[in-house]
Amino acid sequence: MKTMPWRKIEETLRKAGSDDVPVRDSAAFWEAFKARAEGETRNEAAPAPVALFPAWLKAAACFAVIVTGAALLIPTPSNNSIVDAELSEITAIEVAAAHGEITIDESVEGTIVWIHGLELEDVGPNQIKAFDVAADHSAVTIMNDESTNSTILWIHGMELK
Amino acid sequence: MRRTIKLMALALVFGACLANAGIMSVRLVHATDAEGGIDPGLSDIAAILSSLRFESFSLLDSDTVQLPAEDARIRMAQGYTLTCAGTQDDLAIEMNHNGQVLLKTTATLRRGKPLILGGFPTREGKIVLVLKVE
Repeated sequence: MKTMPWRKIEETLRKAGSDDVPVRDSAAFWEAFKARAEGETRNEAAPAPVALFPAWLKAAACFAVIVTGAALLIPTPSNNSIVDAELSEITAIEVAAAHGEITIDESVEGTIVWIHGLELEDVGPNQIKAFDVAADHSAVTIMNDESTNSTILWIHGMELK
Repeated sequence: MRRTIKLMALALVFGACLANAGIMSVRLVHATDAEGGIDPGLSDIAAILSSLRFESFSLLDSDTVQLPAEDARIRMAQGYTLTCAGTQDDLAIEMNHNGQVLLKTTATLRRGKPLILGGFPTREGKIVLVLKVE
């Protein structure tokens, strides 16, 4: 564009006259050109935003997600109705923590497994870390009694002066 | 973020302190072969005491110690003195009789599980010390 001799073309057109050539007046042309270059006449309508995901596409995607989720969550009905009607059954049970009696109550409505006296935190017995008997004695017995949850430290044959 | 970490650390320290806190009951028991049964104040440890070969268990004295203790000294009946220091997990216990050290021991006490220190002689039987963290 820079190499085109606009001035020369303009002079030629001016000499030739505007009657022969259907062009605008040069002064008006340059005014319009300057105004356009300075942005004064840039009043074109802004382009509409591009919609990457139209509303109909979003609705279709939501519908597809709902249908897929429902298909995954709804269990497939068993073909054997007799098996479905059977009660829940405890075939094996193991309670790792300390506990008492285990009762299992099976009824039509359901099965109840009740663990009595379950102790979730077994703190263990007391511990004698160290001891020193200063007075005369014959023996020392330390006994952890699980039945009474107690610890006994017994000094035998102690003599007090 | 740092504030949250500090708060969590404080909560852990506080929880650890609470875990080691407790009240320890101290009971001085006289065990003899005389008929008399078990004192009502010892009913919670009757099963333990009945395993000892005595006929009578009388409660001579009782007190409580707040744990953790810092050289808590308890003067009890018949000239016995108990000194406790430390936490429930690492409690130093010293038993004295008329100024004479009889026993020094360090123990870990579990909540609700009594520790029996026994065998201290009397004319009629034995003195039994019962420690229990409530």
